[in-house]
Amino acid sequence: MYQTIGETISVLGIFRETSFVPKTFHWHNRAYPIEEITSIHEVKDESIKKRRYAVLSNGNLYLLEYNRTTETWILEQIWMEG
Amino acid sequence: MTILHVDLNSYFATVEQQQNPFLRGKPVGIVKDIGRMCIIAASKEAKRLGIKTGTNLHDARKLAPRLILIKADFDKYLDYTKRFFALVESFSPDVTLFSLDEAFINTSNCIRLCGSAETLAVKIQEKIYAKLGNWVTASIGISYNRTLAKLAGDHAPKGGYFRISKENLDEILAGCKPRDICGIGPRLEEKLINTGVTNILQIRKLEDKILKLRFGPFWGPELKRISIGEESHLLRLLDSNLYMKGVGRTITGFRLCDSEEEIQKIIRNLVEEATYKIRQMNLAGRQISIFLEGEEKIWYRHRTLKYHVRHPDEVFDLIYNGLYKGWQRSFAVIRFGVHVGLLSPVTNLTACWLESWQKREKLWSAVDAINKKHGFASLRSARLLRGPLIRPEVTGYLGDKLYQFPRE
Repeated sequence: MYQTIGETISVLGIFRETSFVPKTFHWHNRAYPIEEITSIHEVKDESIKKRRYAVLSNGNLYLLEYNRTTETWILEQIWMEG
Repeated sequence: MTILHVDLNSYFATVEQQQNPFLRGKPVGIVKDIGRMCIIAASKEAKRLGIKTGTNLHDARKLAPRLILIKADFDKYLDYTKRFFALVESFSPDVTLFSLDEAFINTSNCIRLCGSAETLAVKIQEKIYAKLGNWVTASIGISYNRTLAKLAGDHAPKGGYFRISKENLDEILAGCKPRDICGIGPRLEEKLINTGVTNILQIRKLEDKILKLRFGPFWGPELKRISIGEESHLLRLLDSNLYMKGVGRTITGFRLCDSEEEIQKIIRNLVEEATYKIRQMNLAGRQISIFLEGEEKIWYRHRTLKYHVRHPDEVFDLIYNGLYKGWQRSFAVIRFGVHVGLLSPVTNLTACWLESWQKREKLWSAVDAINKKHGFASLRSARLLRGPLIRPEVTGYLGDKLYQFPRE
């Protein structure tokens, strides 16, 4: 099941063909290298545009959310097996 | 003419499995919300165990004790559909989105670029893999009209394609149950079975006179056309759907509702959403209806007006005070629905000169501009200020596709 976290994180990435590709995120002073982006989708929350990434890091799934208005990142959810 | 029907397999569940690799290969059931008792979509693994759309959660658990439930994320599915639509449109300018996960592609203008419909089908699948994800697959049907292309899609393997041509048409129709045809519903199928028809090819053998007598002046000739492989009326209608003929909104609650205040609030909320969509498409309607369902009872009323309406206060007054108040509330309600029908483009209507109407039009235009910028119901009726708001959501059938994907 998904466990809601909702904490601010910082994300490092590169721009490829005008799109930002996250490569690592930092949460609680620890770096999480992103091995795979499994899904990206856009949502509009009221007037705020957000982009949601599902990423795999160290074999775990993390859902990251980028707020395009405030340019901030949030670790939205983590998948917990079992 | 060659038509391709592209159908994304087990759409909602596949999108969830694409996002979350831990769900892949496992039975997954999508529910509208945690606590809901109905599976609205199932993964291919769950389908293999007998779970399908509409299966009750208790039954689903019996069929698949290890079923994983995931809450539907309609915004995500709609975003995937937008990308899917853009993807198929990159192959041909003549594309019709049929539902959230299905599209018809008329390949007449682009087939020469690809060589054959089969090559095109493979290219589409490759692009789906690249753009939507490596877990997302589509079944592609190929034929010379939309009805047969859709039927061919049902015969295609997941992630593969199948063609119905003049050569294999009879063989396919002989193995095709009436309900397999898009446009034939359960009642008509029952009538066909009672007539002794169990497959579509058998209809061809029936005399026109008998068909007309048994199924009426519309369905008699229509069934004959379908039996010889022509396009069904329902799909022919896609060509004339230039604007929506009606906009409705239904919601099923978590529990039976007997509170007058709550019922009033829900009706107002549904009316605000329906009329917002109507105004965004620059339409107005002159038929209003309300639908309420209890545990075992249904109550429905409609009224056809001599004038067109599109403002929530006016529509709410007509539905709530004009229709609902006339009901002696005899059961608690779990499912609510409102509908505004007989829609016409405002540009085709005579402008209303009533000062009160013009004031309302100005007011709601201003409200719409704010809501368009800041999100649905950012500015809303005071009746909706307290408590949770029912927000717009898409359905698998994408009944409001002309709103979500307006034609240019």
